[in-house]
Amino acid sequence: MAKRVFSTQAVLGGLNTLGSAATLATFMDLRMNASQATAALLDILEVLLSGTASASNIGGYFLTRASTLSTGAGTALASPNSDGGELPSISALGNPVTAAIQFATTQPTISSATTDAKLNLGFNAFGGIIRWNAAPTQQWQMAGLTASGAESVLSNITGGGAQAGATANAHIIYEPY
Amino acid sequence: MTVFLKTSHDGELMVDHRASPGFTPEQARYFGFPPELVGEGKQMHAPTLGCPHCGSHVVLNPMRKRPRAHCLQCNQYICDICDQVRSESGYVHRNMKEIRDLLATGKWQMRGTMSKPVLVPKTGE
Repeated sequence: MAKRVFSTQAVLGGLNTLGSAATLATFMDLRMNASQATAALLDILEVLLSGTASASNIGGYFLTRASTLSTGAGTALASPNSDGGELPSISALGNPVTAAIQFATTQPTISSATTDAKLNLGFNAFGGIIRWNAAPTQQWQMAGLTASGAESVLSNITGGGAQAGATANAHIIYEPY
Repeated sequence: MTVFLKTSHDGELMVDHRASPGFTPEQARYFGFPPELVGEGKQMHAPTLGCPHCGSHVVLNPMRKRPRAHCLQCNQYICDICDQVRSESGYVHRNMKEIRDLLATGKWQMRGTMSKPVLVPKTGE
């Protein structure tokens, strides 16, 4: 496989609660496709959020796992959102992952388990920027076809002063293989 | 010849509030950032490293003055918890790769914590 970039504009901001299904079109989601082999893996290599709020708003952003997978097909991304390969000819390789901001039937439940990893990406979305780039061998990994390893969600999480007005544009660089 | 520096293992966390009100000290502490570096007009660049002993992922606080631990056997940074544990009696040095290889044989099971794993032979199965 090769590296891909999943990018959104004016999607992130709305608050979601740990342990509850996310509200559609307020999150960025990567889900392993059920048709893939259970041995499929995915590495998330970089997350960047650039705030677009028009006043001071705290974004309590986290990259989290899904304790219950979303169901139904991922709604096709509409411009300006996108998901494509860094290699221009990558489309011929296929992609074992669905990158979406909403799903046809149910949305992912954001894991509240203390044993599931969460990556803290909090920042002030009024002019703020946060970028996390994984150290070698320390990439965020997804694996298999079942929760919680098969789906990860980036969204603004309620708590700690997080505010719904903390809107942001974002990209996720990832590599399925 | 490939030259590896200590920083070859670094990742990066960048929080840029140069054009933003940033976090109040209370908000910074809640999110685990040093308040001095994420306030109004501040930019924080912090390396991130993985601990080869326990597998955790650590954001290195740029404001820290105390030295960080280094494992000479792994020739890598290790986290504070693993640094403390390695001075306890009965400690056996094993990194994540060694533990994974042992567990993959199916002959061992792991007890204890990730920083101080206790590998016990499987019996009666």
